[in-house]
Amino acid sequence: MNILSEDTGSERGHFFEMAGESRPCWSCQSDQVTFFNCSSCTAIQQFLHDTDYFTSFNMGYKLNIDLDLLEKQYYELSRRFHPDYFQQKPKEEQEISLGNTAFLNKGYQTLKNPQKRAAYLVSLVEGDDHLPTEAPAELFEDIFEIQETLEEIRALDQSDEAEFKKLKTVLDVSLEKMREFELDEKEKLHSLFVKWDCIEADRKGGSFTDEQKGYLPQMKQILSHTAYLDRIINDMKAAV
Amino acid sequence: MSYSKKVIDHYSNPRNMGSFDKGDDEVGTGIVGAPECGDVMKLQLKISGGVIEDARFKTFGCGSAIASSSLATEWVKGKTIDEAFEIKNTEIVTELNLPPVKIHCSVLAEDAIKAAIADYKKKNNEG
Repeated sequence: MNILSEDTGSERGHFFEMAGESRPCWSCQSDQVTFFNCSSCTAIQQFLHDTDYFTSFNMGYKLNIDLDLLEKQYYELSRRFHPDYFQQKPKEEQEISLGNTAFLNKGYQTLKNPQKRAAYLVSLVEGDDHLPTEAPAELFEDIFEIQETLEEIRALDQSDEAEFKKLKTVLDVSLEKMREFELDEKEKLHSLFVKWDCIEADRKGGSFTDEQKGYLPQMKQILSHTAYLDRIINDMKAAV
Repeated sequence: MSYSKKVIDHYSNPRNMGSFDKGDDEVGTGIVGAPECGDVMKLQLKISGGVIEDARFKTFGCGSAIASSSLATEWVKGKTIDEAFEIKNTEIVTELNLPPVKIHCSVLAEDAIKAAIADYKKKNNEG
């Protein structure tokens, strides 16, 4: 079912059903509204904001997504709401167009990135968008060494190239190790994606299953690790 | 949030900062970290005849973490291993007047002492 395959018959897609059910047109109060605009007064609608990113991009609640399709949807939807097309329209419509575009941009950036996508799903299911940054316990010795090396680099006399080279080599080894660890975490996340999607494919509406919810704590832990690793990897890159 | 005078004192004049040779059999090394903030702490004990003769620390973290570890090195000196093992983070909280959000820093210091003792025992086959 493609929401963008125009407004004909039952192929209109879930957005159209959804739009009519939720609210009438903000401008003329007609209930003949589509997801994009009012069939009666043609005013642009802001129903995007009633949805979440997975729904608005019509990706389903899947964690492994087709990035080409996502991009395609993003361009198509952006085209429908682009502020350029509303320059001659009333101020309200210009604002809705801007708001919708901002929503789409943020949604695209969120869904494009696997970690952000998973974090967003977790926040949707749990209704809490706070995700902690957490250092993996088994890395503390490495982290300590990294901090020590970073400190030495900061204290270094700029002209001392030989010493800098030496420290950089030390740091590069640690950097590689952090990257490998992060890669492992990402692979673990990916295998959780597969498990989630497997159940999601069989789920017929309703709420997420307990089994699906059971994967969330693991996802959260991995995400908090990758957030921390991103931070320390950036610190290391900035230092050299 | 403002730091207590004692935290500021330890932070500006850290006691026993530095390191011992990790390979020394008389040295126990504990490296611990706080997952939530990424603070890391290294605490080393020089032990002879079951008594802690000297201690060193190095901490990358906030003022409270530095003060907690600095205080811990002061406290362990002269104590037996068993006595040092009994040091509780709550004592550090009281001494430094740490606010609730900084209690984990004192936990870190307690964990570091215990980790250093465990490392020493392992090295000397007492574990």
